[in-house]
Amino acid sequence: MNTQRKVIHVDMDAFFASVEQRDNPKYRGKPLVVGGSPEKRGAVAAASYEARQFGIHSAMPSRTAIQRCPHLIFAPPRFEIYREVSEQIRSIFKAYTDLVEPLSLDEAYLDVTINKQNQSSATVIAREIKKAILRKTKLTASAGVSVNKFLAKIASGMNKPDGLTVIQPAEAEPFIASLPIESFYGVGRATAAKMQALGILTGADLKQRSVEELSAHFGKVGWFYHQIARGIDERPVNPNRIRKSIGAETSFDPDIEGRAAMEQKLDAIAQEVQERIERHSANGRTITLKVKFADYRQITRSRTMQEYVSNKGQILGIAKELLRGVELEAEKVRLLGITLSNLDTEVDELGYKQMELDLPFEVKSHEVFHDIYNH
Amino acid sequence: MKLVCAQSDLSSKLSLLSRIVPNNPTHPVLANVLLTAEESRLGLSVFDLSIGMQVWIPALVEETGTLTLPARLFSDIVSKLPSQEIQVETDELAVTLACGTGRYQMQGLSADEFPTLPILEEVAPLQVDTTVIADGLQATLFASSSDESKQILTGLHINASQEGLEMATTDGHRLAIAQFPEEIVSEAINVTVPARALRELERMLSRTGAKIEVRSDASQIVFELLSEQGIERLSCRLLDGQYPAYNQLVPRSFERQMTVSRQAFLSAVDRIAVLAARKNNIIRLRLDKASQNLFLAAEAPEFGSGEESVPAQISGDSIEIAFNVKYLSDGLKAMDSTDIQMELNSETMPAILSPISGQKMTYLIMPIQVRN
Repeated sequence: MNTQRKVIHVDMDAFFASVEQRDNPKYRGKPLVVGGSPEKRGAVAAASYEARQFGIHSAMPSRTAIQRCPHLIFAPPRFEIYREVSEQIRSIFKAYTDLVEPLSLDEAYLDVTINKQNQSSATVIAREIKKAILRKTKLTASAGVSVNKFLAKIASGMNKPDGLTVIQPAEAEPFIASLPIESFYGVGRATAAKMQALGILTGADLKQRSVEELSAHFGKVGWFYHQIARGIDERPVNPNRIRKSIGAETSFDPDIEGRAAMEQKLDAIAQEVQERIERHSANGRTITLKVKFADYRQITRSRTMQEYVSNKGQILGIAKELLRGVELEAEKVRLLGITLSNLDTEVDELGYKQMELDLPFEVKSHEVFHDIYNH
Repeated sequence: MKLVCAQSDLSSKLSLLSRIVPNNPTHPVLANVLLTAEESRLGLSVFDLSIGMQVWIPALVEETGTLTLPARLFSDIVSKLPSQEIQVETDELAVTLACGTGRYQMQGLSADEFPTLPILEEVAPLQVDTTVIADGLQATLFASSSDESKQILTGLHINASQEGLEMATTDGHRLAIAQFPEEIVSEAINVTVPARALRELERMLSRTGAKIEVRSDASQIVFELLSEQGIERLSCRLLDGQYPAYNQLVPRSFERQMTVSRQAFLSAVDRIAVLAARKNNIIRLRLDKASQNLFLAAEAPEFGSGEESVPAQISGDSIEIAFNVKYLSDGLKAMDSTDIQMELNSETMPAILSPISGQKMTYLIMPIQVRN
């Protein structure tokens, strides 16, 4: 029996920016970003390919962006439109399979192992989906086709924009071996630095390390790294996944100390949370601050608001307030994170949601749970 | 060892003890119950290295001695024997039970292998009325978590100080606090005890009136009850880690308040629960200021819907709020007051149930947010 899965990852090209260029012919072919204006200390939510040539990317402060490209066009985001387009794309996916797992408005995994068109070639399906997206929305998407989510996602990023890349199982291993460590899913800047310090620069280096060694350095995610170094990723495409929280966190190397330094870092993290909230077009009512100390002890502090929160100022204000309640005396901190939960999207999808108490938690180092595998 | 005891005494204690015996013990002797025959009494002990229990029954002891027997087998046999006298006699490690027309033989293990239960003799005990512990457990134990990933929440927090005794549990969706301001202690206690152990303690507390002595150190807690035959004991390893500072989660001011008959409220909740259970356990409450009525409703689209109304004294604007029906009935059942009050702010903020009279208790429930 053939148990090989067929997974497609579809990713819209420069989504928000492309929608703006589509709807405003005068923006076409020009460097454009969607986001807050530089005067208002805004940040870039999405950059057109023309803007990217100036080294402008999402999450960059708008002021930096305009310094790099003085004639940069700033378009305010129009989330209702993005949501509509997202719905159109999802209805195209649904013509092939109900196993669609949206990651955000512009990105989704599809499991087409069994599909409604009885099409045995996932590559043919990916091509048809790209065509249908272009016909219906006048926008381009890139697709990756492979045997699991990890490889499909890497594939979709390989020939952007308007790409279609297939990673066959036989090609997977040499391909992963040559992949630089920072391109691995789930490996952020701090983890990449730590990997490099351990002499792990590529997928090939990663593959040589035992699961014990990786777990010792990275906790439970170590196991996941060990798996993906071998091209193994058994996470199913989960159409019912309901996102319960949106967050961002940053590890520091070296550890940081002092409240002022931490508040400064929180500013950047809050910025990122806000961008992610926008990408998911969600609002939330609970803000959780996570602090991991140098000895891996971890605490969380949460607060639930009466009203939904979605802007950076509010998120940052509450996060700073929560930090004020944390004893920091002579403590070094290796990680800070902010998470927004109690999302309105959750209530939308299920129709209801059991609310939770904001219990302040303290977790010892060995109990710290890395949930990356579930994300 | 040679003795005679009543089947009913032995059987009831063995069924209590066998709940603690581990299924897959790390050491074979932990699957056994320790028998200690002393003058006019037979002691029975089990220990799973976390929870230990020792109880006594009256016995006519001809020959003293100690031995361990497989707890489940022993308990199963004794439970089926007729309600008569049982003769217990040992020959080395072989045990013979004789009762009515039956004779049973079992092979035991030496008592020397059985680990010693913690006693904490050196710790000065806190003396509390059994009723205090029983009331506290009834008011809180049900709200502890069964989710092992948040270990500390699978326990019950005990805080005793000069400000009184407080017991609390939470599973992250609700919080139950029982307060005994009159139980003042000089040596503060601040521990989290596994709820599993306390459920066993609750079963031990059938007799009333007696005192219970509580001893604890950094890692253990021991409850001692004085029975006619001697000291009965439940010991337990404490849960590690800091219990969440729950008191700060209880709102101090409320925009809305309702006083209602507990029994009328509970009966209506129980009836609506039949329907709610068919769908998602959601019960909708409507506090209607104009008619001074509490309306309760549930709908399960494929099955049907239902509504109840209960007269209530309501202050503040009318509000609709939804809860998990089980959380609501658990709390109402745990209280013994004739009337209870419900205090709340909005449909997405915590609601508090508390009795008007009797045992002081605060029960906080997080609502369910429902799409319009």
